[in-house]
Amino acid sequence: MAGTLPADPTPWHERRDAGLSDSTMRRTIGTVTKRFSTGQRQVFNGYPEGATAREAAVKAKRQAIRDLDTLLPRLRDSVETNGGQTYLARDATEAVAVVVKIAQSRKVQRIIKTKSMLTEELQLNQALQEAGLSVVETDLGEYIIQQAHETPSHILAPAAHKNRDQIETLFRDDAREKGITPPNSNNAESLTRYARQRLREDFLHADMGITGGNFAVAETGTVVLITNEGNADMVTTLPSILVSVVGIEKIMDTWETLGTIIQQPAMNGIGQRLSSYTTFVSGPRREGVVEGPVEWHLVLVDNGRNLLRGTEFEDVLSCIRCGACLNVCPVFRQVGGHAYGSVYPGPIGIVETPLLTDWRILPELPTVGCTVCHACGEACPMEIDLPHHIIQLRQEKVRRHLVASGVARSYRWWAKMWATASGYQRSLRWARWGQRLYLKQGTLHDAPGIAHGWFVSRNMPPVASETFHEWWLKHRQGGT
Amino acid sequence: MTSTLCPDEANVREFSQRWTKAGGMVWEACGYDAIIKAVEQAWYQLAIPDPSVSVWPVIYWVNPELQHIEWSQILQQYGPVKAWEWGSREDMRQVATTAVLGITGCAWAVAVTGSVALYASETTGLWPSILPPAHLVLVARQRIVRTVAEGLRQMAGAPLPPLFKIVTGPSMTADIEGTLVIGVHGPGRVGAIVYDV
Ligand code: SF4
Repeated sequence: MAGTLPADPTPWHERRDAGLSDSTMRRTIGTVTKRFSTGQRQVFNGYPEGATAREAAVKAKRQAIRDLDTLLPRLRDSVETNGGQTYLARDATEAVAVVVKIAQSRKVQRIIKTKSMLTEELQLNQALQEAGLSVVETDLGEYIIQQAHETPSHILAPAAHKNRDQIETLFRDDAREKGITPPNSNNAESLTRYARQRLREDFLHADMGITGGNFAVAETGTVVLITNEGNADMVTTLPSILVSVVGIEKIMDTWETLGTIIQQPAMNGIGQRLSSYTTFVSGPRREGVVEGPVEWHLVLVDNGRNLLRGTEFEDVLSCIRCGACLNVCPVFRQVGGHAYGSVYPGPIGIVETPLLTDWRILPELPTVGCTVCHACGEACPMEIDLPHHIIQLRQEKVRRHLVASGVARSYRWWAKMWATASGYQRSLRWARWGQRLYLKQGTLHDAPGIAHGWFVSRNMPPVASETFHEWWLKHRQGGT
Repeated sequence: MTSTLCPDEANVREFSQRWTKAGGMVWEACGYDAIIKAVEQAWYQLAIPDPSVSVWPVIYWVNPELQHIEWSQILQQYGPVKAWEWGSREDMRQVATTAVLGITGCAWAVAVTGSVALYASETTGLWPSILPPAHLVLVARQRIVRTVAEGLRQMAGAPLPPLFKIVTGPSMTADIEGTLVIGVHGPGRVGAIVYDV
């Protein structure tokens, strides 16, 4: 069953141009991605165990995806034995309905949340707010974009597109609305201090917490959360009701295999051996313990993931959302996350968006968002063959007639011409003849049909009046 | 040099190095007197109470081998400290929220990552490590294992605590223009005393 993901209805060229002309976003996203990708490269230096663990993690994760049919009931059994309640949601609508029902039936009023790409995918906040519930994002980046009514622009750094002045304005507006003291400057420390004070109140007064999950261990019924800020520690220890919303692909089979993968998100995402906080929830609080939820609900979400199993794209489900592929992608670094129009940007977004939704949204992504430079394939710690998948998706797009017929015809004709030497030479003769219409001061400024796009931002030298091939044909009789 | 160290010495070195790299402070202490001295040093580095406030609450729990120490008395030497032991009152959450320092023991620690593992139980709480602005963790050197996987392995077989966590440095973020800021929701100052039992 295909999943549903939100999509920006703005056409690609407008999204792209908006990204390219946003100099603030381009500067901040450049700094953030550089910092992360340098960190990833450095953290493995002199730490061979990290690399060995990564290899073991790839194997374990691939196996867990293959064994999902047995691991899923096992996880549910373990969680329920531990006193939690589990739910399996086939799609976004079902998942959202489960969470809203839990909140409403318990008369919840204030919800605090940790960062979760899956809940972005489900548009959970929107649904909770429509149901009259207050929900506050507690990861600083997520809090910023929630205030700005925007979506994340990077899997790990959701507010990577905003600068400190913009954030200060948001916080000042918030302070005015709430009648509290605003941040005293636009430096990162004062802005963070403001958010700390503001969110502390929410932590202490919330009656329900919502988390995502980096991993879920079938053997022990444990959900693992990784943060640097410590907000997951607040969300899991303070409210009396806890709901964890986790994709079915996050399941690991055993406690032992968890040990191989647990450091990989931090190592590959931010270049640390481990994030500041790794938080483990295995059940509601026991008699005599004061911390932790009284009720723990685990909502496992499919939303299109099963569609990928047993296909050539199965490895995509191994993604640990480290963001490394985004950080090295030359397209992402230029256009930023919002240009993709999907919750999942960058190379992984290009691959996952059409696959999870069975091509119902943003079918242009595999064609427009990749230069096939292969940097993402090299950066991915889970060895997901992203560049190859992007090519496969381009082919699939043609098979599904998702490419405009004129474009498909042009490429077919082009391929046919260049398949033989004589066809290639003939095409050059035609180009030389045709280019006269587009020549200005010895440079080509435009071209007809699909070639037009190429000239939107650049010029080209014309086809030479005599190519090397032609010169060679004339001179080779003379011998070399 | 390293090869001549006995395993737990190598672990202590590496733990101290990594914990410091992650942004924490470390004191090594062998024996009662050294532990008390390290606590004093840690207090002045980590707890920065408001001098105009009449009571400086501290919330704490320690591992069994350090329970004989009169923590309240020791901490009172540094100012108007009121030390609350975990579980000594109903409203531990309120105490942790107002505390100037949280002191905890730990179940195990990890050398290669510079981390400490804390379980939520009747006698050991997590709030002292997250709600106050500073956290001091007391780590028995014998409890330091080399890798996270080894630490997790120790837990296998028995029922897991419903809630536990691994702490590796202070609370931090780089969400604003990639600038690193320490002390977001959790403590901005963290220290570890590595002691010998
Ligand atoms: S595809 Fe690979 S590199 Fe990209 S986010 Fe997922 S695990 Fe990280």
